[in-house]
Amino acid sequence: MSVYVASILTNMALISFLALSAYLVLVVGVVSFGQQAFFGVGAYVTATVTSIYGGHAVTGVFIGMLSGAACALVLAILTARLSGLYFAISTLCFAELCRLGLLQVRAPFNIDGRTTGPDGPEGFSNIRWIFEHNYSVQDFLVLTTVCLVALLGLLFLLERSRIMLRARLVGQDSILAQSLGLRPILYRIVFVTLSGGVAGFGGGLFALFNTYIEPNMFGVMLGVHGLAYAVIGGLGAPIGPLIGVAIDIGLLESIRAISAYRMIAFGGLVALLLILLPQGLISPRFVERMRRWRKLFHA
Amino acid sequence: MDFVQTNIDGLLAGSAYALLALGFSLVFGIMRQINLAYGSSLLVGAALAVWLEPILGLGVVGLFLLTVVACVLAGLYVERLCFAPNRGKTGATVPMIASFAIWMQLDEVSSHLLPSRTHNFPGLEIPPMFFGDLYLRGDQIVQFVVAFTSIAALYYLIYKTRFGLLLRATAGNAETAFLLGAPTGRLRLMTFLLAGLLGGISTFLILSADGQVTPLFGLWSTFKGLIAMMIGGVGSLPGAVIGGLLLGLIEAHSSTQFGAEYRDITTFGILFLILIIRPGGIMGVSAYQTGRLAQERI
Amino acid sequence: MLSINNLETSYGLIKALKGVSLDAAEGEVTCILGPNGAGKTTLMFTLSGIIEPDAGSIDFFGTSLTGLAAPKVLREGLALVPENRLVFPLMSVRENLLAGAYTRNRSDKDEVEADIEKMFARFPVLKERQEQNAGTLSGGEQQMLALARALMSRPKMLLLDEPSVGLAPVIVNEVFAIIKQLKEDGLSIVLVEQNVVKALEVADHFYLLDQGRVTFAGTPGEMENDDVIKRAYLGGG
Repeated sequence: MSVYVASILTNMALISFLALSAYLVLVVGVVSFGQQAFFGVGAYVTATVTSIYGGHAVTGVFIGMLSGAACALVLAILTARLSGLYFAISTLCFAELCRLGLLQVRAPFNIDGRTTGPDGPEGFSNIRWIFEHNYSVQDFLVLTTVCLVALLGLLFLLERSRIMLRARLVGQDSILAQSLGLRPILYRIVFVTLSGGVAGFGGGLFALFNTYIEPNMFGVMLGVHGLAYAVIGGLGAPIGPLIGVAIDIGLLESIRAISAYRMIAFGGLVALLLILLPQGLISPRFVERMRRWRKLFHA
Repeated sequence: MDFVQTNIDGLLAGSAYALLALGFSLVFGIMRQINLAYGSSLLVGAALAVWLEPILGLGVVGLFLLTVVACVLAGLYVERLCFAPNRGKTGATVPMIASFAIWMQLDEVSSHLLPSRTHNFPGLEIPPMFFGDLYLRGDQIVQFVVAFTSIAALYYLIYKTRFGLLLRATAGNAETAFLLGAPTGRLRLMTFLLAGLLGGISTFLILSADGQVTPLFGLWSTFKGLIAMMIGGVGSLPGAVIGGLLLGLIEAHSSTQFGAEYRDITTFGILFLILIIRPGGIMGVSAYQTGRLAQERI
Repeated sequence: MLSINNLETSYGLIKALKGVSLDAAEGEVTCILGPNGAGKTTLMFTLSGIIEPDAGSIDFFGTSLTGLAAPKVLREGLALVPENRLVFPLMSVRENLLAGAYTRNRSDKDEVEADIEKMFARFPVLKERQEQNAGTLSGGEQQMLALARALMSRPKMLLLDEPSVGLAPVIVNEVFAIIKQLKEDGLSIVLVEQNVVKALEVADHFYLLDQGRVTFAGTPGEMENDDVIKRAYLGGG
């Protein structure tokens, strides 16, 4: 497999983490424009752990994941009283505050003769863990894919659990959920925190892969892309957001004629699709129908 | 005197923000929808105007008209694609999501029309004025005057005409307004066109004062408009004006006190605080009024 | 005369009207009674053009209203005073009345002004509060305003959805006195009510709606039977 193809696939896998984190929030019935902040936090923390403190990549990514989750938890608690639109705007605010804050953080270190560490708008360079441990691009692709598949597996198991069913009910009809004794805000806090962890994990891997990160990589547009993938792919199952990623980066990018106008095509596609299928391709209704089919076959 | 100068600068800039916020507030206040493609549609309008102007050779006034017309047309496009087909079916969230997809799309259209990092946008060539120690940029004064004339015209339209009565009725309770004969579809279209008109005027004023148009204008105007709207109280027209002016003042003062670097942090920080403490903004927009959006889901 | 034939309407996934047929004669007060959830409000929404029926027909003075949207229905002369009043809270009393006259021609401006004065004569409390925001009015005053607003369109027939709900008994009496007056002035009225006693005071004919179907039709005179009143309150049977 060529380095070029492996790179593209790795990028697809990395952004899938972001798309999945947007998905987890959408499932609970709110929209977040701030997932990119958790992605960025995970990236910076992982970079710090591996480059500055010489930690192992696994440790780095793990701590990155926890940091993303922690930030998300803080945000979720602060915005507990906010509904729909206000929550969405507050996530945007929070994400921009994180990005702008990172632009102010300047703590360069000199390690082994190379400058590393966060340096405001100059970014965090020389995140060299994969070079130092002789990981090729293809190796890293395998690593990332394994992680993504593991995450999908966990989410798949989660889908069948009572927690997920209740969370989806809260997302569908918060009033009905309350009348059944559920407390929507708890589910929102849990799922936003989870989404922060997922995004942080992906961000950590991203930092290792890219070897260079800067705050402006984690702007609103990144989050909006992740959201678009989750929406077009569908909220019915975790595979949905991945399909969204595949359509954009996989399909549209590979068609030479379109790739220069990829966002024009993709944006238009999402808007058109929402007219016909407001819940995305793999919508909850679609998943229900699939389940019933399978039961028919097994019966 | 420095204090007065900062205030003046802030108010002058804030008048343009007020127009942007009005664009968002009109659409939210009347139709209970958030148009996230608004900023990008304004950028596309400006890009089209800048791209066409040399071909048509119309000068500054022509550019102004071109910008406004292009912004209105862009708004029409967004309304037809994102908001008209999805009316009522799944609440306000689906059209909002469609609109951010179009945000991405229009941003890329603009970057194809204006491929460089920055493009010249002809200014109004008006000399600055001095009042004692106070320094007033000529084109910013024009900006202020035009902005306030537009706001006054809008006020007349909304509060003194039959059409405005209908808009306010729809804002009050869309279903009842429909009962009384309000043509909701046409009203939504008109609201978007009105927002495009105000936005186009604001875009021309801002870009000509700045002398340039960059691809970042879409995101920038989206932020400014949304933040000003939220500070003033979402969906409230007076709130949009107050929010815009306040945002200008806040930015001017934080620039003076903390330096330009911290200007954006201050703005977002204040908005975040407002959202946590008093989400209804200055006008104290009640949760009941935005109640439907509180229960929105995908 | 309003003639409804086999009307079926779904409200979301629930079939709220399962084949309703009834007539409302000109110049009469026709009352529709029934327990909560019977479909009374769905019927009102269908008639006034807010919801589209799945099946059946609506004939209004010779014109078919089936499937017409609210603005068109209003232009034909059928006006709804919705449940819970639904005045525009941030607009003044006078502006609310003007809104009610929207479907009339622009050239009628003087007549509209004259009508507003007539409303003030009929509802003096509205004249007192004409520049006040409608949201500051009491429940009873809002009911008057909602009525007056509907009358501004000069309807041939008025649909009244539960005008007495949430009002004190004294106010309810005032409202029903006005309903009686309107009928005497020649207006046809379809009245949906939970307050059976007051409703039967003004009704010429009534229908009992239960679980989306008409279960009883008659005149107040025929209502000696207690059973029928029980059904109106508790449903079923």
